[in-house]
Amino acid sequence: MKSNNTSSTGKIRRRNFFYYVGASLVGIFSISKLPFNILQNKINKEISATIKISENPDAVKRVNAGRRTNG
Amino acid sequence: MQAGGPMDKKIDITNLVPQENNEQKSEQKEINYWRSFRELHNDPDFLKEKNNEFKEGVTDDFEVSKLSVLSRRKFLALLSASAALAATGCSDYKEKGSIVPYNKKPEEIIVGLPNFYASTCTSCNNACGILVKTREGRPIKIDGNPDHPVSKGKICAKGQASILNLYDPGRLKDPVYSSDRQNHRNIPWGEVDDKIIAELKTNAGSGKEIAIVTHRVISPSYKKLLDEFIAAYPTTKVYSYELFDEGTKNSAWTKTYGRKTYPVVKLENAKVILALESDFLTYEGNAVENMRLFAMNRDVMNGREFNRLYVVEGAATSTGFTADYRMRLRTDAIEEFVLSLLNEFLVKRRISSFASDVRISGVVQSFQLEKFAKKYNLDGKALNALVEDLIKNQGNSIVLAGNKLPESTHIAVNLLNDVLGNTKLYSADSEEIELQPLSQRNDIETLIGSMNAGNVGMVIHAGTNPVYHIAHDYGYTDAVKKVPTVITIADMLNESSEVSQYVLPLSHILESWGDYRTRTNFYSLQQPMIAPLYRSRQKEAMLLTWLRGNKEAFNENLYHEYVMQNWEKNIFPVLNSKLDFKKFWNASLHDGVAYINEKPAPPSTFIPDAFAGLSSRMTASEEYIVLLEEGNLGDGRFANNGWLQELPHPVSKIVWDNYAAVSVQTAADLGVNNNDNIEVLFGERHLTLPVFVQPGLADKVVEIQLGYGRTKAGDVGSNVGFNANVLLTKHVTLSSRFFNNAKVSKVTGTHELVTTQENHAIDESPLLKDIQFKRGIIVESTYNEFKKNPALVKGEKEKVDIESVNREHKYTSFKWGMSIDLNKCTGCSACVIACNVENNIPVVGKEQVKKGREMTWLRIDRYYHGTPDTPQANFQPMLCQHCDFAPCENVCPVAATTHSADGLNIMAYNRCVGTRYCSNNCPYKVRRFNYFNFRDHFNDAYYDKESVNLMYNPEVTVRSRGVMEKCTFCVQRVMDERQHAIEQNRNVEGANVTTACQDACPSYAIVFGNINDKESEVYKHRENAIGYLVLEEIKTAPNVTYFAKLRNTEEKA
Repeated sequence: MKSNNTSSTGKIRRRNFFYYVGASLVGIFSISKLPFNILQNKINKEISATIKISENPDAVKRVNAGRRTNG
Repeated sequence: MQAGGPMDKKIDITNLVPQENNEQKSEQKEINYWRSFRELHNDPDFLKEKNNEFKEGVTDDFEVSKLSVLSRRKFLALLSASAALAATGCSDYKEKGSIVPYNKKPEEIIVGLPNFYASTCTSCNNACGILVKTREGRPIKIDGNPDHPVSKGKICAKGQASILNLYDPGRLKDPVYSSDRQNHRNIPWGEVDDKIIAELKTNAGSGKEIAIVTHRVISPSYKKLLDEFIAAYPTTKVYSYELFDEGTKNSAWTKTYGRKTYPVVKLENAKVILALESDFLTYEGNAVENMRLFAMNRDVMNGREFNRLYVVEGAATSTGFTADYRMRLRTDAIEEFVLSLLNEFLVKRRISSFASDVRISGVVQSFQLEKFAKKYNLDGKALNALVEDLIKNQGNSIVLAGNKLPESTHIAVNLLNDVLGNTKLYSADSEEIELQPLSQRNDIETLIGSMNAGNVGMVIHAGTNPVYHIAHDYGYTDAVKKVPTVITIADMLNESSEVSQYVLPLSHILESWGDYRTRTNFYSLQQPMIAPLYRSRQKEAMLLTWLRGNKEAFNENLYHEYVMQNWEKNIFPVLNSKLDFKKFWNASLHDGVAYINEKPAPPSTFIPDAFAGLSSRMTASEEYIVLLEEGNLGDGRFANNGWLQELPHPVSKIVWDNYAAVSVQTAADLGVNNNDNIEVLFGERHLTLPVFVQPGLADKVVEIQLGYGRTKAGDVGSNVGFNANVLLTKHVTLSSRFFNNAKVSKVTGTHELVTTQENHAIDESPLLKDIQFKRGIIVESTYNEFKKNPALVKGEKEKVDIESVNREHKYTSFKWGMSIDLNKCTGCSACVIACNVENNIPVVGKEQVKKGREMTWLRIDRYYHGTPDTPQANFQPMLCQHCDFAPCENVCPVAATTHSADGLNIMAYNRCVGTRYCSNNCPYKVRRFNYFNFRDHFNDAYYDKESVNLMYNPEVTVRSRGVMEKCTFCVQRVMDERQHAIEQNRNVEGANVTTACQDACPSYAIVFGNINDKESEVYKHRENAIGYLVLEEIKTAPNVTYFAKLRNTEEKA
């Protein structure tokens, strides 16, 4: 005979499982969407480049530089 | 448990000490190739290791008993919850920003297309022309400038790797200052300029010396600037030095011919070359040019007769192993050898008018070649061949003396060349130019004396590091501390910055203007393609600002305008150009060179008294010889360059260290083995470093590379290796880097050296044990055999008929293939670095290389054969063979590696799940697995910093952890050509695609193209009789053809 007594086997009851999943989703949603943008700003600041690349306007570039250097 | 490296296993030296019957063994017909002593003697541990895919210890972290006992159900529950959390979190994890086109696009940039700029590399004094590829304004690759008359489109490994120095995270970004020379803090440029100008004026006014310490001056504009600086501040004195220079060779030339610099040698016309301790194909002179000219007469395709190279050396160099005949000889016996040759030619054979000059014949009378050969146990056959060849090819041969040899030897060699009529090979059209002589010993001593006496008010280290370079017994470091103001101009903090108040950031060569003159007939120009990444300046711009006496004088274009004005006033008028100056200037910048019509002075005649009147000559001693060589790091300026640190030495294959190379006999005499420490002692100068037993080295010769052991070279280069500069001395008897009075003894302690020579071995098969000797990984024969019948070169290989499991596929249109000519390859490794740069290959570090995890897609295998004392060696670049029936493709469970319609074996990185079965199955061992995200793993993510990310080639994926990678035949370049062909509505041209390694090879050993095109070079190479495929018998059908190595000897193969 099957038993619904799960406390000794470590299994989660189906109903409780879905409660937990739903609560997790709500928690995750709130963490990602609510006013935690402060952290986002910090991350964004770190990514922005500190090295600026600027070409030298006086440099003369090669025209037709698809060259072969083999012999 | 630490994985033990191959260097930990001790070699039984006593077995390797030559006995009489070893010579008999060497005459056996069957050539037995070996890569290390353990392999030579079939060390059982070594054989066991070779059969294993992975080195011992690398899988030790995995123990089943220590696995978690978590139940599967709980594990899956936790896993799904974590995945849900991660997936939701990832949506906003890192705002990568949007990819948007330029709001205001710079005129020069078309997004997605590269630009190329000509410039000049000043990583050494050869000033080779370079072509720099930029993407979106960022330099990403340096190659040679095909229009440069000397380098002709090629540069060395250091030049290739120098791009990493531009983006090195350890670069100085701002000027720093410290009154106590210890804790430097940032200081604005304006303040620097004000203070230094004031101090310059004060010192000049009070008569205190202002010393500028610089490297060799090879720029006319820089020389003019220095002259103007001296005029503005009259107490200024300029001192120039180099760690590696040709001073001895040039001074000998001056004494024998009255001319300042050694002539340019037309190596391409030399039928016989005798190199005496001269590594001219790797580090000496302009090695890039030397390799090209040498290889012109090593080409079976161009119909030219092969030249013959004899090398007599005490060291073990890649030039020596490229030679047709190599004789090992103590370096201090080389002069006696030259004098014996002179005796042979003048006294015995009387082939020159100098024979009747008693001043000369009197000197050489007492030297006998036969006696000499017996005394030093030289190979009689090789010696006879040398003498006959030199006689037969008078006027078409050349004798080259290495830069380390003393002046007396150079003078003797100059005479020998004159006697043989080889002066014909000295170019009459071109000669080297010396704009300013280097400072001599007494100049440096005078400076130090002045510093000690308090007569020097300021020292400016203009891009130099004399605290590291100058011999310690000069006392430079202590003396410079007494100078009130010391300024070091450098790209990063170094040893000299520790004695300086001001340390000023130096711009990279790709951020700098310049002009260079190393030879007659042309100038080489340097232009920056980007503005400095940080607040650095060129040293010339700094000096110019101080010269003008006002900080406001500086602007970004200061030195550019100065160079232009110098050209317009002084150089352009003599060029007789029909263009106006502006057009001429732009054209010269476009080409990278400006030509001038000038004829060197006519050749002069040999001055006999220079030879006859020598007060002393080099004689062999009984003591140890120490040779201080150049290595991958140059004079140490590349110590912080991870690619060069990880580049295996061409001969020893050691990485991340220098060492004392000794011969087998010397190791036996000292009672040492690999990794054991020895002490090299000259009076008070001594150095303790580990031993490496090097086959082919002369006995009692210790070879050590310079450029290592720096204490302040950035996070990567500091404390790597051993500082052999401590052995330099101002009391030079022979030459600055060659001593024959050393005491060498074993001391306690060991230091682990890591070598790649046994990594990725392909010549062992557990299934067919004996086949490794017949596998023809290297095919070698003689040039005479080739001339008689090319088909016989490959010999009759035992046919092993294995039925292929694959169906043959016909490639009807394009099929990419490569050919590598082993006759031209000298093992210089420029191709390896070029591949690293092109394909964003990470640096992994010494520990990972020890485990066989180096990531270079292309490696140069070096195979010895013969005895440990007199081996021959072959260099073989090994890369993915792009096999038609690739064993790696069949075994990938996720089809991450497949075959393209044009014959490429391709990797889909995002499919790869890292089973490594492909690597296991690859017989060539060319696949590399990212065990870590090496950018993150190496040295606290040193190469994961923002500046290094700018260096990556955007056309090549940057691979992360868990993904297999390998050579792609530069598929990005193939796709580029395909794109252009579509745009231009034409067919893809195989000749338009060149791989990075092919572009880099100075000898043109690598050819790439469409092997289905019968007009293509690679097709002709593939069809050539001496072309062979490595491991052909296992039916992988590789698409890389190797040309058999042909030694130009008189002996049969």
